[in-house]
Amino acid sequence: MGEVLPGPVPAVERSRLAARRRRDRWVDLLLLLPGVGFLALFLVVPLAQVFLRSVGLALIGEAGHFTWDHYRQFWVEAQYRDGFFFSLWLGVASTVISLATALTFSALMQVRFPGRLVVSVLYKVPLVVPSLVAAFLILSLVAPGGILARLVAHWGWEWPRLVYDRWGWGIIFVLVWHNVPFMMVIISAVMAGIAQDINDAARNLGASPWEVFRFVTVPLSMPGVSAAALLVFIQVFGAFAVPSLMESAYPLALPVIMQTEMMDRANWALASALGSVLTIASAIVLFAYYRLVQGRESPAR
Amino acid sequence: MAQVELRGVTKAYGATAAVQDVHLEARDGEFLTILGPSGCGKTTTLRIIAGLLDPDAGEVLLDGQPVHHLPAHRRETAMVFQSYALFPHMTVRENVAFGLRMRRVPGEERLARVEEALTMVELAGLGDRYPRALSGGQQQRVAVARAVVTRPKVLLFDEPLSNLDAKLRERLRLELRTLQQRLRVTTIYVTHDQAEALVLSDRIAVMDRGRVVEVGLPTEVYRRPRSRITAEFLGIANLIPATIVGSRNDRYLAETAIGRLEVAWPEPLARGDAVTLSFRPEDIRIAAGAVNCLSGAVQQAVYLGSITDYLIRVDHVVVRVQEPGAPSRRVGETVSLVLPTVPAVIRER
Amino acid sequence: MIGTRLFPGGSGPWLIAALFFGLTLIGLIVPMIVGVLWSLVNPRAGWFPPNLVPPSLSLDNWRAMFSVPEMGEAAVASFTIAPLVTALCAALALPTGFALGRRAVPFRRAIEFLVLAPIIMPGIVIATGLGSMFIRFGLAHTVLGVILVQTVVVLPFMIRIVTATFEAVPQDLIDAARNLGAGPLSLAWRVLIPLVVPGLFAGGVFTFIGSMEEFVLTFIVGSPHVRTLPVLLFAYLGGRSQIFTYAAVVTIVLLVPTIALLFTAERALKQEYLAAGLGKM
Ligand SMILES: Nc1ncnc2c1ncn2[C@@H]1O[C@H](COP(=O)(O)OP(=O)(O)OP(=O)(O)O)[C@@H](O)[C@H]1O
Ligand SMILES: [Mg+2]
Repeated sequence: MGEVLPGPVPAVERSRLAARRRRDRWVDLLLLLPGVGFLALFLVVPLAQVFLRSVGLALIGEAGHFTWDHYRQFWVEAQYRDGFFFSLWLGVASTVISLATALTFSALMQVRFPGRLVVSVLYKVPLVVPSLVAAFLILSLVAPGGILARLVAHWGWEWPRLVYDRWGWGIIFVLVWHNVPFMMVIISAVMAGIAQDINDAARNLGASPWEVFRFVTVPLSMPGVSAAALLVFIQVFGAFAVPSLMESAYPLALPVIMQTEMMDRANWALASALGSVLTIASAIVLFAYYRLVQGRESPAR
Repeated sequence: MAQVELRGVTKAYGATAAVQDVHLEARDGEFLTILGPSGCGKTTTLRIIAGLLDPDAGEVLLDGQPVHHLPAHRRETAMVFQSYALFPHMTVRENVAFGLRMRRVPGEERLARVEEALTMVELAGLGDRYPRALSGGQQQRVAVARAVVTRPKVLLFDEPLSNLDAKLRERLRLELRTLQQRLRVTTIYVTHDQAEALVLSDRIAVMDRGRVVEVGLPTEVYRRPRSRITAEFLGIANLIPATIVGSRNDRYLAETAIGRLEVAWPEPLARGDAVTLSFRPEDIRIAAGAVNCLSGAVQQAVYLGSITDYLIRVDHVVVRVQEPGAPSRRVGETVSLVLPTVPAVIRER
Repeated sequence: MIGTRLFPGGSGPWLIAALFFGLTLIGLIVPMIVGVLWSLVNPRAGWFPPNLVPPSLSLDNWRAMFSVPEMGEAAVASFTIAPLVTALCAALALPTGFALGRRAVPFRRAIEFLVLAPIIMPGIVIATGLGSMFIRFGLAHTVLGVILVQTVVVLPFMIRIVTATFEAVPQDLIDAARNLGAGPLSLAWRVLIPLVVPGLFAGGVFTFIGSMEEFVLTFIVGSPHVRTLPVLLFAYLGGRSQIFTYAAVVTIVLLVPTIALLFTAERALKQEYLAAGLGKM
């Protein structure tokens, strides 16, 4: 019997392979279409609309002529600029405070303590509390005339002004309240993923609990921590509801200004320009994040 | 260098007793191996010594001093973990330096000691790599370097070679032995590999189901096991229940299912004692003889290269016999066996 | 555990417990009680400083709220829109998640970025674009429009969780099923779908809660004609005249179902899913 050598693939076979590959592509496309198609239609198109409108053009509706006026307006008029910086401040402050708190709490949650199970369920409650509700609950607590103000008034003290203030401390407080559990969920998941042996090895080598946290737990949690911080920052930076309820008359957060321009003045072009500024600033932060993560990627795994 | 002592150490996880009333001593500079099957509580024992786990009862002494008040990071023990537990976010050098940094060893000295340790485990060129860029054997060496660099009083090894292939394992265990003898540091080494235990140890402690069954020199535990568990766990043993029925010329007579056997044993035995005789397969000869000679049928003959492994049926008992060289007997053949007169006598049935 | 010996003498765990329970009390329980009290304030007596508790309680606010149409309408809107958004998301995410999780699709990076975009973009920007687009298409101020905008922001979570779940199915399992004679259909029906049900369920919980909570887009695209509970709440809290009593009623109607869902679905909100959905970007 002659040996069968693997000869060149016959032409029929080859065309069948190609047909198969083509069919696979169609299957991919068909499977991706629902999700990706939806997002393309209802996300990409509107975003294109925002950018075009911000320079006077339009994808949908009457196109005007190209102009940078709206961006110029943003930079020239103090209320818009201040709004931008106010939102930036809210984002940075909330992120830093939330991060420090969430890191500490997550580390403490790794310790076995009485009632840990109960706490591990309860701390997630703010996750499902809409930020508006959070604002209401906190307002009823810390607003002038709120419960705490009334309580300290009983002892004759004056309650500090925490809402409707220049620095938006009330806003930051609500956003921190809302975001700490969110960060904790992510950070705890990453921390729980660190092998027990690694922590034990560190302790065995002489690291105190604090040093284990500082040199092992935190660096190994960095991927989750940085992702959580980024998400919180971008959300707060673009937050509308809470600032709109709790801010002072000036400055207004940029999203609040946008909403007024849109709904009260129908000035979609200016709102679009402000939205573009917000997006670009977020994109820069995102880009910085990726650079940072990439720089750290090697040690992370 | 130090002496380690466990006194009545007990630890339970819920209903499972992981470690029960363990008494154990490792002398200064000694290499003590804890040998036992999976799940017998070896890791638990090590973690208790390292302070990573609190015992429910009993105490751990280092140099005669109880150390229960010392948290893990203040105990001068260094552990090599089964998983190595190298810090994935640190380079090899940073990993090795970690313990020194925690001890506030100044930079110059730290660097020097790290390099010395890396040279010792022959990893001098790999200091800047991350652990994931190392082979299993190299990771293992990093773990060893990281442990010894702190000059601990006690070295603890938790099955450090179990994730390596057979060849590498053999080489590394010799290296570990050499290293330990050079450093003269008290070492407690956990393994379930009997060959490893025999090669490495000054003494072996056999553990089973949370208890230390016996402690002895490698030759003692192999040749004179005091329990069936030890006999079965170290090497292969033909365990034959017997009753002492008398004595003749310094030898005891033992009644067994395969007949009456003559047994020499240095310790006194009394008529009626119920014991177990343990014969090593390599001690049994296929030949004719005057004393302890039996006849049986070859049931199976397996060629293992340097030896042949026989199963031979004597009455209703199957005896395992090993002879050097290729099979010389066929299956079904009737042969005569000579059992040595010096089996181990175990005082339990 | 990191801190078994954080504090000698064993007082550490108790201190931590005290800290967490104290925070829960001040940060969660007290505000909730105050919220409930506000909803029960007798409107004729009010609840003014310096009273720490309302002088008299009544169900008047509840009666008033349910006698005006806006409350009922908002509740109906919220509780119909959320399930519809969830169903739509599941239907859209299942095939896409399968493709991303198990097939070598072209332009993967670009698609992943597209899926990530709504999570990392300020909602108000998306609202600006969709608002101006929907006005053109006549979708502004309609329930359909609100469903569509909410889907844009919650769909990514669903897709990411479903994708991660599909990815986690071991190839061996699929090969074993094939080897045992399962065709594509029985493979999907008997092996894949059952294995991704937990992920789908977790994604569904997320989506439902996300839809119930969603405010900015609903507010900008839907109001004033379509008002969900958060939009109504905003109306009572915003502006110069805050109506705490009504806001409290809306809060309770909104919170009770979502918190109940959280507690029943606690297992589904397991950290793996959350981390899979958000942790790595
Ligand atoms: N954290 C734990 N919770 C509950 N039971 C445990 C825990 N750790 C160990 N055990 C149990 O305690 C017993 C001893 O475990 P240990 O890890 O000490 O065994 P081992 O001798 O090291 O086994 P191996 O050789 O497989 O590593 C086992 O039955 C194990 O199931
Ligand atoms: Mg073990």
